[in-house]
Amino acid sequence: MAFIAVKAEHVNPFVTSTMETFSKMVGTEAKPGKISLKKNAVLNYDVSGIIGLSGGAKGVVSLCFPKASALRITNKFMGANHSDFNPETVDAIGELANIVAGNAKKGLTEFNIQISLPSVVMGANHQIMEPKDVLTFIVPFTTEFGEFHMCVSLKSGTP
Amino acid sequence: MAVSIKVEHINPFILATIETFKTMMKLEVKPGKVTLERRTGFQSDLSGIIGLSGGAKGSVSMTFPKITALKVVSAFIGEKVVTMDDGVVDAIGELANIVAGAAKKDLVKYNISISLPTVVVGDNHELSGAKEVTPMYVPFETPLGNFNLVVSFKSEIA
Repeated sequence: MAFIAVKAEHVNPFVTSTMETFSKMVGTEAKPGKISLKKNAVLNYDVSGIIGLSGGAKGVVSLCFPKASALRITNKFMGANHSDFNPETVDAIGELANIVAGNAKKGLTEFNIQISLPSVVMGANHQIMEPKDVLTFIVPFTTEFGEFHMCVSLKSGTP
Repeated sequence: MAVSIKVEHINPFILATIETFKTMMKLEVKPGKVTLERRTGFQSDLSGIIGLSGGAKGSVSMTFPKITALKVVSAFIGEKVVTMDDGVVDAIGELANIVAGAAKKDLVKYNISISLPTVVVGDNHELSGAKEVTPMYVPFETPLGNFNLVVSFKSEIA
């Protein structure tokens, strides 16, 4: 397997995929902000969808939401009107993460990425921590239903 | 309709957990009654999550109450830790990584590859799996406290 260094440009397929997923599946525009390195930033969320990445690169991608925007976005996605988290909301967050990761891997064919099943975390003010020895990129998104973050960690396979 | 995980898929993860605690921490851990549930209401403070892909798709998580996590990590790194810090987070991720890595050796025909670990830090959070697969929850008893192993696993390979 050829060694490919993981760079910021490898985050672009995830950004594009998030924009397309929101436009096509949720029916709203998700505008990406500036990509930055997560480093030691302490970021708290209320619900997060996490997908593991493996194959020619190892990593993880997560979509992380405050409660209000998670409810409004998933309500729009499902055509529902929930005022609090329920199993449908949780499924919708997992499904969104799944679609984003599934489409992004098509833009990263050099890594031959395979995706895991989603895990969804619910809990006020939780943090998602990626391994320290891997660069984690964070992209803030704004939508008419509120904000969320997309985080990507990626490490290429052993040379 | 969600498919159920099979016993032959879960056993390697249970055995890997028992072996990992035995070899890395000299601790005997006992698996309790396995339950199949979308959500248990089981709340944790620290969870290590690993994604599985390849010939099977899934995820494996180890979820801990804070006190148990601190004691388990102390035993794991051989040094007493009393506060939640980056070292504790890394150790929980590493533990999940070791368990997933050991389990995949018993699931060779699925040619599983594992993702990087993610660790969730947050009082009273709850983990849920994918819609299409009902995750399996295994409570573990240890002398240091209890924790849960949560496995989702789906494969087209018979």
